[in-house]
Amino acid sequence: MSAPILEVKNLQKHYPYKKGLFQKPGLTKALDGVSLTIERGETVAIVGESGSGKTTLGKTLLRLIEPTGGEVHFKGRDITELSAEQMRKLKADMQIVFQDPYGSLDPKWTIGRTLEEPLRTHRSHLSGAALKQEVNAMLERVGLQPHHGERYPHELSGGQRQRIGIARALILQPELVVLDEPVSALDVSIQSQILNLMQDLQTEMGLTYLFISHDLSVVRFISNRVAVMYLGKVVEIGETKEVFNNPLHPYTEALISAIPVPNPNLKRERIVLAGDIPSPRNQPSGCAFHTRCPKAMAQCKTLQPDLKEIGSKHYAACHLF
Amino acid sequence: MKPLLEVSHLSTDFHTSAGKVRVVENVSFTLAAGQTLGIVGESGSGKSVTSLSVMRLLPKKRAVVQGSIKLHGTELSTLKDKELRKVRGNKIAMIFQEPMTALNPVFKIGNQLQEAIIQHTGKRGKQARELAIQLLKDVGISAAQQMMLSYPHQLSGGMRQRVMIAMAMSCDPEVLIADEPTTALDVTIQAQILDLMKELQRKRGTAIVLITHDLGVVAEMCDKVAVMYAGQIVEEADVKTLFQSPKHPYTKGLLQSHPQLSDDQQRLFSIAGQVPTPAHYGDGCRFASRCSSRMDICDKIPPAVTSFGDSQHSRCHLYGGEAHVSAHTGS
Repeated sequence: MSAPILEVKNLQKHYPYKKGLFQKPGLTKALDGVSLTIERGETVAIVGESGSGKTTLGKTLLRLIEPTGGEVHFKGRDITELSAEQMRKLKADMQIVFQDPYGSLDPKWTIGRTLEEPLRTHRSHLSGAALKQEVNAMLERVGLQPHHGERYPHELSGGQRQRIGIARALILQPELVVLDEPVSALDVSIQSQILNLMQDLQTEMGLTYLFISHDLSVVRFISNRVAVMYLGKVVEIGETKEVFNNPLHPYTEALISAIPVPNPNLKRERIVLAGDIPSPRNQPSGCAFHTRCPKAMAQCKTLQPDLKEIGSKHYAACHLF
Repeated sequence: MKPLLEVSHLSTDFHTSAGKVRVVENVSFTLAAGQTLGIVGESGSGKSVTSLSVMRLLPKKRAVVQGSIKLHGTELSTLKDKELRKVRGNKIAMIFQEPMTALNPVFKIGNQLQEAIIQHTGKRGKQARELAIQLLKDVGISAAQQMMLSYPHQLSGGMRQRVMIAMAMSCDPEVLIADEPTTALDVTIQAQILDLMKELQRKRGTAIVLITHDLGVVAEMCDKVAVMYAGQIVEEADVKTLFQSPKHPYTKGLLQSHPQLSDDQQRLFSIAGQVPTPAHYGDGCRFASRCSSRMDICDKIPPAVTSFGDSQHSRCHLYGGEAHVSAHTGS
């Protein structure tokens, strides 16, 4: 196997916060030692509840948020040590698509201008006509027409705007794309259009995806591997099919059992977790999940479990194993 | 079973700068005590406007609501505002998707809850306070005393929704209209809230109208389902029939678009195009432009409703329809 496209080692993002005037500041551990490898051409999904740190992870990988510790190796190079200028150049290869395309598109720019902008920055040798051609080709690639380039974001529907969000990210032909909840704001019928589109583009352009989502049915469809996050840590990672069929961590088990299935004849035993995800400011001691875990044991309160390989390429951080 | 809530031929028009726009057209449904009706549809299908019309919560100057809404046989649509206030909150309550916007940010939970109790039950002071605490306990908030003193921003999304449910339940309503109550919540919290709603329904016999876009939630919660598209109910059936043998191509499409949890799928089914705006509904079937079973007639004539047994009805030309009463036929 060739070298992985992305290797994340012990990535940390700690935010200091003031406890009180005379006290030492505390630390909010948004990312607390995340390690992850992504192979070229695969789709790795990150799932977890709000507050689990999945979006912070996506943004830190692109250094849209600066990490406070750890390493991110992109194609063998540690990008956390790059200068701003070097990083800017590298951004042509690493792109991101956000959940709300309306918030990430400039309302005063035409779609055409939004799509030209990355080309102007990274491919400054292109002439005006060539720019236009590239933009039109990209619009068609995402299932729109050249005339959409003359429109403004508010003139498009949610699905069309997300197509633009994808076009903007892909116009520089990146290698790695972080997709942060790309279909969460869309209706089911539009969601399936966009998921199919993303899959087609991946094959055509040889893309590697990091797919962040809270929707497990979507993740089941699109990803090859899935990492489950809880309070800034990866608690389980493995091949998607294996994780869904045979979840190891009690948190993963509960997450999967909580998904409402569109089949009224199916009566499943649902594991309902008590309470909410704790605030990352007061992380529970030991295993962070022990406060909600139906299978918690004495040692879970004090001892933090490490990520261990339990099945083939299937890792979990839990004292049960 | 005698229906508790009976909505018939409900239509809602909005006055816009472009003239009158019909957002909900000829919607009818009934609901018995203890039953849950799901209204499913995509954005722009008119499901929220339907519920706001039933509650008469739309601004009078902007919206014209026609049709009949009966609760226990009493017509609500002709009630005076003052009389209506006795019904709304007391007998029909509503919860919304985003509890943060439905709660007042500058008042404590306890004050807001007691306000609702004082308005509707006539209980005052200590009695109102005790009832408020009891309601919070009923919705699974163990630290109820402390919750009374909290402000909405101090609570998580799931807790806020519990408070909303407690408030809606404060008058023991007969009908609860829940508009996307769990859409903004994480799956684990969604499971808690859905369980809570089911439990309250079992204890109190509340009828629930559940508005949602999530077919999974429908399958778990509802007894019967109305599928809305572009302002109309296009299919109606009991929940098992709807999932087992959907008749309308839109319902079929929706069900197939949903990614499966159990299988490997190479490709998702998708419905081409998007929901039309009221200006683009056209003369015929409103789904025609996206429909894979489209026929010539679909563009020209609006389909009539065909019934399959007592419980399933579908608005589609594929099944002929019983009565082609339409101005467009020229007969």
